[in-house]
Amino acid sequence: MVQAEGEVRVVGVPLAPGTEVDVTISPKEEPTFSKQPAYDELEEVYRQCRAGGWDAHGAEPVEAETLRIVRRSLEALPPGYPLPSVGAEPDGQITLEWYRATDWLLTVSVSREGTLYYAALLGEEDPRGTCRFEGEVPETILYWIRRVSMP
Amino acid sequence: MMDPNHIPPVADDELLTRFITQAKQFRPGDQTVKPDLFIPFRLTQLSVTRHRAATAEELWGIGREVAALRQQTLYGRSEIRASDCASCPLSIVPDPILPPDAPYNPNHANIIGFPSAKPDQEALAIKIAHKASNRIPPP
Repeated sequence: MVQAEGEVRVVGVPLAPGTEVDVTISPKEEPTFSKQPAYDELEEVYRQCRAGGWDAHGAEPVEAETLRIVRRSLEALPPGYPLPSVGAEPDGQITLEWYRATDWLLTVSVSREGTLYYAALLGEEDPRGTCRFEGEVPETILYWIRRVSMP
Repeated sequence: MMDPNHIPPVADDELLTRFITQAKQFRPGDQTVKPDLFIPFRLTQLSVTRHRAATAEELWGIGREVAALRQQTLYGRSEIRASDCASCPLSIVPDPILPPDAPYNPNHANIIGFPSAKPDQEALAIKIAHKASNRIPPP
């Protein structure tokens, strides 16, 4: 039994002295964040860029395998991480961008082989590199997403 | 437009334009341009148009011709100072487009010297995009 001193209120309603209250403590439910907007944008980019020359300047097509890898990457993005915006490049790679300002962003280009080419600008920092997607988003990429997204 | 018989080197204080023909090359929310606008392809060089001796109407005319040749929409253009994109390893060289090539553009130039490694290209494109103007919509 726990005894409280002073006025006790439950959802703002004061309880009379001596009132017994049964309390049940439940684990906090995790909020569900839908990734559907990113999936939708990915499908739109693929639809627009799956034919060669989609930029009317000799662009390579975005291939189905690239689409599949990017979709898996989005699925593997841990809960709580912000969703990127999606685009495509003339070499057929899909780009993911986490953006806060023109000097505070991360871009990741995804190849059909699952290679991730990343570059970021965070003020004076300009990291860049290469890693691979093998079922999980590499910790390097997660680190830079956190850095870009943290207030 | 410049006299095609007298094309001077690109000066540091010159303004250059990149035409925007893809919707994904700028952010609708704040009209900033993305690094995608400054990613070279194949030849590790990037086309720009010099403002020198060009009126606004002439610049837009070139943009409309570029878009028309590609059967695409001209979403606008973005301006950048030559000095902001001519830092090592990049440089800007005049490359006038004259008949029989099209579109006629004696003010055409190329930003050259992009590294071949993708992450390095991306890093440069991000920095150039940061210095570039927001999207200027067509009149």
